Amino acid sequence: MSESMPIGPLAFDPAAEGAAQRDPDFSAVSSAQHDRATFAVLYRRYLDAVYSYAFYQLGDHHDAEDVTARTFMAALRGIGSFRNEGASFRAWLFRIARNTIANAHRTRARRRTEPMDAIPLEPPAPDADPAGLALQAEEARRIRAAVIALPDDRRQVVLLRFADGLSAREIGEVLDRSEGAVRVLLHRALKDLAGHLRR
Amino acid sequence: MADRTPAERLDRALDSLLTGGFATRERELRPLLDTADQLRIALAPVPVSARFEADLARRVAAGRRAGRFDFHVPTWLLLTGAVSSAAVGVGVTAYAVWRGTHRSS
Repeated sequence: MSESMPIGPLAFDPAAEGAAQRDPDFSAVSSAQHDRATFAVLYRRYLDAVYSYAFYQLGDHHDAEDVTARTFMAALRGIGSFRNEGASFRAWLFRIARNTIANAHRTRARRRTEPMDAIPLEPPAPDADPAGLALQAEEARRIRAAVIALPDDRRQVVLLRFADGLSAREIGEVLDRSEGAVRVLLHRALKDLAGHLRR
Repeated sequence: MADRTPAERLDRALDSLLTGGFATRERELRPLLDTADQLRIALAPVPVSARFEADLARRVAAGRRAGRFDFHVPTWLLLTGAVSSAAVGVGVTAYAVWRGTHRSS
């Protein structure tokens, strides 16, 4: 898998005024652009989110680690060229992750992967009901399987919204879609999932 | 401004749900918000292993050190340096040729 990928400024609406002020990472990014040592702040802030995004799409811890490492190394190399022109740092980072995941899918297309229910769970409370926990784990597995079965664009929207907490606007920046289109995709995805999970 | 479409109303309700607030009283959206709540739980952050976190932190730090020269030297400064060096080289050569010519005559 190549680590070289487009990571320059994103071509989003340059008229979006005040984007810099709206980006909660603005000061950390500015700092990292002047002193790479402070990139560690952004790394710690987004490590879990990027890893989860990769894991939920690849279903394999080893591949998710590989994608996460490539994403952060690419972000570190490209941070100097990041310009906050309507797109947040978080959207830019997830766009890099998305490209890296697409590369990973291409290179391991024929390889078997570990199922997603291999997610390490929090240790249960000592007084937890084992039957209840098993039921909860099975329900979570069923929901994740339904998400994975969604068409790619709907799956991306659901993962970025629920696993990573991105707004419709940020998801639009990651996927090159309008905010309205993302809302419609999310609405359709939830309707699909609600119908599927009722069965 | 009032939300106009179900997709916009759902998105606003999700903002509330995902930040721990009360989502909505709209009956139409309730089944979708129930599903959204299930998704929120099922797609919880996946824990990263401590070994991986430490390894990558080291790689990030190493990448920073390796790239320091490239990152901090602007292109215009490199170009100015190259042109200046070339100019000095041409000047020295021209002087040597001139001295050689005058000495032999």
